[in-house]
Amino acid sequence: MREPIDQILLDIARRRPLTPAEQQQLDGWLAEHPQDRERWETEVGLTRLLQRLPDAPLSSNFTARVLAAADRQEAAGTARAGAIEALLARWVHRWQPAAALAAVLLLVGIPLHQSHRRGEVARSVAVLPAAELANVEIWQNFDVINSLPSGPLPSVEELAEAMQ
Amino acid sequence: MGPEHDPDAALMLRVKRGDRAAFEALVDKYKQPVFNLIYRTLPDAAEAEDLAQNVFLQVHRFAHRYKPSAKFTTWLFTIARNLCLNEIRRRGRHPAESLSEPSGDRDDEADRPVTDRQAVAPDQGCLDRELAALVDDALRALPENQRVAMLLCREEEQSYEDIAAILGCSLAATKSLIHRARETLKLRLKRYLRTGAWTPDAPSRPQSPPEKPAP
Repeated sequence: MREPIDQILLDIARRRPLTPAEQQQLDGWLAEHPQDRERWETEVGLTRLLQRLPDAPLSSNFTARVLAAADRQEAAGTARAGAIEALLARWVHRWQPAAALAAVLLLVGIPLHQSHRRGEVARSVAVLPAAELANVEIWQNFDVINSLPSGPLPSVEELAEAMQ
Repeated sequence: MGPEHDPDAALMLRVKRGDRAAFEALVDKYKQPVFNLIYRTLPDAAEAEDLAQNVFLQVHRFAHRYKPSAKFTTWLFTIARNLCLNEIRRRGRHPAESLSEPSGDRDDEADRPVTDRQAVAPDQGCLDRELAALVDDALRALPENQRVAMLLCREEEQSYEDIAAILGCSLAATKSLIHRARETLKLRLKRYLRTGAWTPDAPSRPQSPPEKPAP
């Protein structure tokens, strides 16, 4: 949908003075809509007032102060980065042998531990007597027993319901 | 908008590479618009200059994050507005009474300027300053988002789309903010709108702050 010409011109007039061509367009439009002339006068008057608002008073050495603060900020950043680097280097230097030893222990220890565990499991399975294993039929009511409510013993009705 | 079309983006890419002269050029170019915005946004203008300095320090500090996909001024004014909002919130949490601002319940009313209506008419510069102070007061009385929208609207480089991006709202909402702000200002400044000039029978107020010397 196209905006009416006065709305377009109003949007422009709210930001800057109209160009001669735009002013001519507006004059044409106002000739057809004289009832809007007062509204336009106040709009243009307000834009003029706002445009004439003077700049806020700023110190003459503002740029120099910003640049000096930026230099300080940069120097502080560099110093901070340097301090972190030095701290890291000192830490590495101090703990390097211990860290290397820990890494070797982990590399050797983990496979050894895993191999030991595997051996233990294999041995425990091997000594289990097959004859002592429960009959598979024992487990046929496992789900029913498992679904019984926990806590006090169920009533006969509940037991019957569960069995169904 | 790419750096080839936006000279500020090109400057900012140079700042990213550590070019101090490019940073200086950007500060010089935008210090006044940024300061205007902050000075008229904060309820207390005393620290506006420090805050404006912080805006440029943030630009310098986070230059490596800048991407020339958006207009430099949109990024810059967004930083400025966010810092203003932080400051307003901080002051809301820790309100401090200004020693320089007059207060109604004190007995220092005698120190306040009173207009002598019998005196001879002051010169045009003085009247212009007085009118500017009235407009300034009317702007300061607007809600924060309307005030920022109006102040950005004064910057010719800022389109409605840019203002919407800075305020973080839709284009329609931005136009509505500006419309409401203008309606309020028209009511408050009604008697000056026809001519855009001072009329001697208009109510008077204290003058705007004088030019500041370098600290």
